[in-house]
Amino acid sequence: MASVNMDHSELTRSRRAKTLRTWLWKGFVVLLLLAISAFIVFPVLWMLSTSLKANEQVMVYPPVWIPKPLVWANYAKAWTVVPFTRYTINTALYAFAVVIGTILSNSLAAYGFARLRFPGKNVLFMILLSTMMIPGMVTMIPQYVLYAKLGWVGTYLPLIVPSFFASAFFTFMLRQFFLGLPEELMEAARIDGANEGWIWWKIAMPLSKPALATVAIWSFEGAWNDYVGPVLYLTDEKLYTLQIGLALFRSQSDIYWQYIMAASVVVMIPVVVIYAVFQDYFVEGAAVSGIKG
Amino acid sequence: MAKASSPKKMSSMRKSEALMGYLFIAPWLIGFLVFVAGPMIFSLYSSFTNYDGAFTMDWVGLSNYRRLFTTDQYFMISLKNTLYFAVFAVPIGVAVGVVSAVLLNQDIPFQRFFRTVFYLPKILTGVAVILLWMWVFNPQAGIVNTFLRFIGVDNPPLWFAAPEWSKPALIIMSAWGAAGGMLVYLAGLQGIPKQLYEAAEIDGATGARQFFKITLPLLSPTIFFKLVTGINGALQYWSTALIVSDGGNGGPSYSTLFYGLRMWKVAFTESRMGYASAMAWVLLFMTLIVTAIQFYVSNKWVYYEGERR
Amino acid sequence: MNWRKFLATSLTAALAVSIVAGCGGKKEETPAPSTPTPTAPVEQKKVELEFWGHWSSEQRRPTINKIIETWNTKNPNIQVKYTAVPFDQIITKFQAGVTAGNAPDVAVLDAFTAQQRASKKQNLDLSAQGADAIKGEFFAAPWSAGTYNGKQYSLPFVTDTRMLFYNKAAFKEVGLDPAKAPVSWDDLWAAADKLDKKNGKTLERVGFHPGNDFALWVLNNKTTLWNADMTKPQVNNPVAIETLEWMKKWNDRYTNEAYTAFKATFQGGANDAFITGKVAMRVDVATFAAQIKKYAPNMEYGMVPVPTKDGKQHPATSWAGGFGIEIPANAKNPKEAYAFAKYLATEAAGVWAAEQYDMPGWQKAAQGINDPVFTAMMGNMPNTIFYPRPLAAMDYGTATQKATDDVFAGKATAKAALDEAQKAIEQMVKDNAGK
Repeated sequence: MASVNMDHSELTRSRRAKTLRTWLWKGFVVLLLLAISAFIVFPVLWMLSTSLKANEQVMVYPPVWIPKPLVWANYAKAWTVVPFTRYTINTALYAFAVVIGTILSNSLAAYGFARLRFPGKNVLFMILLSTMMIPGMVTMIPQYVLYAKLGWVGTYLPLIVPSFFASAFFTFMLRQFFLGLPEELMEAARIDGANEGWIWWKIAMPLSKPALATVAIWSFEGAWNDYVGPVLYLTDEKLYTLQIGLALFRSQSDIYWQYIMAASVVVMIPVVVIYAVFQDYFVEGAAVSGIKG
Repeated sequence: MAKASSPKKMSSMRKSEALMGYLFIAPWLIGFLVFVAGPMIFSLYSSFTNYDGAFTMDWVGLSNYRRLFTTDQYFMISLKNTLYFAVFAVPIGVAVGVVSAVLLNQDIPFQRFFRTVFYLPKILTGVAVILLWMWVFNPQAGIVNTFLRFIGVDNPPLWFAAPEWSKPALIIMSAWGAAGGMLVYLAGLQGIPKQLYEAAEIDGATGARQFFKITLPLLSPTIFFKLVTGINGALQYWSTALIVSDGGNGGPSYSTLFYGLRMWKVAFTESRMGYASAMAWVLLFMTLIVTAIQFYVSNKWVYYEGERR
Repeated sequence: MNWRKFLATSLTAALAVSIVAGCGGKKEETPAPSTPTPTAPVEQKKVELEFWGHWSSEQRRPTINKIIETWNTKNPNIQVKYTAVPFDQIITKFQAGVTAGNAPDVAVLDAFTAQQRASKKQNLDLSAQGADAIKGEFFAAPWSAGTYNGKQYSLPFVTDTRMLFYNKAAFKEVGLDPAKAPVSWDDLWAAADKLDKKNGKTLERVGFHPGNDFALWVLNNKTTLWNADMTKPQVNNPVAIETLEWMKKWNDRYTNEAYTAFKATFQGGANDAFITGKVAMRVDVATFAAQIKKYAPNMEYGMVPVPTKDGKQHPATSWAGGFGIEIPANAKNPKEAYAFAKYLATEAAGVWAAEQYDMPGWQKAAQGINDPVFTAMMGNMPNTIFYPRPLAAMDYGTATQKATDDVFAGKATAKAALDEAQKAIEQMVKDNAGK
C-alpha cells in the first residue's frame, strides 16, 4: 500500500518538475530569441527610422533613432518620383510566374533525381550541380546574345521562361528533401499500381509542403529582388521592375537616403507579407508529417 | 549482381522506371541544353581565347591557364582571402541557421513574430544594407566600437580600414544574413516525426541527447545541402566586397580582394572576358573537387530515410 | 481555404498576362523591319532613335525631356525616345547590346571608359561623321577623353573640374585672412595648423586632408604615373614617391583611424563634412558649389584653384571627369544618330548646363551662363587635365591603392610600396599584352 502511494506521489512530483522544467526552458528560449532578435532587427529599425527623417537628420553623428519630426511625406514622395505603382504590378506578375515555374519544374526534376533509377543519373546530377558553380558573370554576355537571337530582349521571357526549366539550386534542395521521405509509402502506392506521376503529385508533394513553401518564398524573393536580370533584358521603362526603380532612385547625383529607405521599406513589405502567409504551410506540414510518422 | 539476372519482367520495370526518370528530369535537361549548355560551352571555349566581351576572340591555347597558375600575382592572394572567408562564414552560417531553426521550432509564445524577425536579414539585401554596416563598423562613431569602448577596449579594431579586420567584419555581416537561412532548416525540422521525440522522452533522453541523436541526423540532408551551396556561394563571394572596398579595389591592402571580385574586375574593368572565363573554370573545378569530397564524406554522416540506389 | 484558390487562379492569370505583356513589349521595341528602304534618300527616311542615359530623377528628367522635345519638333523625320537606365549597369547593358547587335542608337556613358570601348571597336568612329570639325568648340580636357588613335569616339556632354573649397568663416575665426586662399602645399599645411581643432582626443575640425587620389595628386605635382603614350608604368618615380610621402604626412597628422571615420561622412547632403564645418578645406568638383547653395545658402566660402607644390598653376593642376555621347559601332542609322549626338553635345548641353548646374563640355554653353561658379570653373579649365586610364592596365588602380593603404597604415615606406606597385603593374601590362 505504502509503496503504491509513494509511487503515485513521486509520479506527480516528477510531472510537476517536468512542467516546471518545460516552462523554464521556454522562458529561456524566448529570452534568447529576444536577444538575437534585437541584434537582427536593429538595421531594420534604422532603415525605418531613416525613412522617416527630415533631410537634416539623416547623416547626423551620433545617429538619431527617433526622428523629430516624423516625416511621413517621404513615403508619398518615394512613391511618386518613379512610377512605383506600375513597377509593383510588373514585378508581382513576374515574380508569381517565376514561383509557379520554379515549383513545378524543380520538384519534377528533384523527384526524378531522388526517387528514380536511370542510367547516367549520377553524371547528370554532377552536371546539374556544376551549373550552379559557374559564376553568372562569365555566362552573362553569351546568354544575352542567345536571348537576343531568340528575339526575347525587351520582354519578360528571358526572366521567366528559364524558371520553367528547373535550376540547380532548388532541384538540389528538393532532392535532399525527397530523399528524406519514407520509402514505404511510395512502395505501397507502387504495389497498388500507382504510377510515378501520381506518387509525385499525391505523396511526395503533399509531404514536402514546408520545403515547397521554402522554394516558393525564396523564388518569389529571388525574382522580386532580382536586379541585374531585369536591368539587362528590359528596355522599355513601362516594363521596369521595382528593383530597377530603386536603382534609378539611387543613381541620382544627390542621394536622398530617406527616400531610398522609404522606397526600400515599401519594396520589402510584400516579401514580408508573402512570407507570413506561406508560414501556414510550415504548421500544416508539421501536422502531416506527424501523422505519417 | 542479383538484379542483373532477374526475370525479364523486372528488367522491363527497370526500363520503364528509367524512362520515367528521364521524363521527370526533362524540364531541367531541356532547359540545360537550350539555355545553359550553350553559354557554358561558350565560356569554356572563350577561356582558351583572348575574348574581350565584344568582337575580338582569337585562340590562345592554354596561355590563360598557364598565366593564372604561374605569373598572376592576384591568384593566390584572392584565393587565400576567399578560403579564409569560406572557412569561417560557411560553418558559422550553418550553425546560426540550425540553432535559429531549432529555437524557432519550439512551442513558444510569439513564435510567428520571431520567425518573421529572423527571416528579415534574408529580405534586407542590397547596397543600402551594406552601407549601413559600414556605418555600424565606422571606427570612431560606429555602434560596434562605441560598445567596445564602453566595455573597456581602448583601441578597438579599425574594421574595414585595417587589413586584418576587414574579413572578420564581412564574416560578421554574413552571420547576420545567415539567420534568414534558418527557413530551410525549419522546413527540414517539420519533416521530423514528433513521435520520435516522444519515444525518446519516454526513454529518458535529455534535450541535448535528442538534439544530437534525432534532430541533427534527420536534419543532415538539409545541412549537407546548405554546406554544398554555402561553400559554392562563398567561393563566388564578391559583390559586398565591391562596395566596402572603396570602388572595388579590394582594399585595404588587398585584404578584401576575393576571387570573385578579382574575376569581376578582370571581366568588366579590364574587359578580359577570356581570362575571366579561365578563372571561372578553374574555380568550377576547385568547387567540383570540394563538392565531390563532400559527397564522398556525406555517406558517413548524412542520413537519408529512403534512398533507392 | 479560399485564399489559396484565389492565389492559384491569380498566379495562372499572372503567368498568362506577363507572357502576353512580354510579347507586347517586344513588339513595341523592335521597329517594324519593313520600314527601312536602303535606297531611299536620307531626308525621306523616317527613323526612330533609341537614346539611353542614366538621368531619371524629378530634378533631371524634365530637362532631358525638354531637350528631346525640342529636337523631335525640329526633326520630324528623326524621332528620339529616351530611356533611363540605372547608372551602375548602363555600360554592361550597352556592351551586351553592341555584342548582340541591339544597342541603343545613342548613349551617354562614363568618359573614362570611352577609349576602352573604342579599342574594342564597340563605339562608332565619329571623325568619319565629321566630328573633328567641331573639336575647337569644346574644352580640350573632356574632348581628349573620347580620342583614340587620333579619331574621335565620344563627344563631351558634361565635364567637371576640381577646385579647393575653403571655409571663410573658419579662416576668420582662427585669424587667417579669408581673402588669401592657400596657393601652395606649404600654405595648406600652415593654414591647417591653425584650422585644426581638437577636443581632447577627438577631432572637431580637420584643416585639410588630400584623400587617397594618389594618381591625381601626382599630376598636380607635375608628373604622371605612366609614360607619354600610356604604355609603361612609372609609379615609383621620385616625384610620385614624394607625392605619396606628402599624402602620408597629412594622414599621420590626423591618424588613419580619424581619416577612415571621416571618409564615411563625406557623403554629401546637409551633413556633408565641409558644409557642417568639420572640414575647413577640401578639394572637390566645382559643382559642389551647388550643394552648398542648396544646403547652406549663407555659408561663407571660397573657391580657388587647387594648390600646387610651388604655388604656381600649370596645365595639370586639376583634373576632369564627365560623361560623353557615344554611338554603337554597329548603329543602324549612324548619320541620324550623329546628328542627334551633335545636337546633344552642343545646343542641348547649353540647356542642360543652365538648368542642371553641370559644367558642359561645349565652351559656348559655359560662356552663356552668367554665374560666378561657372566663371570660376571656366577659369580653371585651362589648368585641368583629363588623365585617361591606360588601356595597357585599366585596373592599375588596384595596385596603387594597395600602396596607398600600406603607406597610410605605416606598413611600408612610400618607396617600398611604390616599388611593389610598379612591379605589379608591369606584370599586368605584360599579361594584357599577351592577351
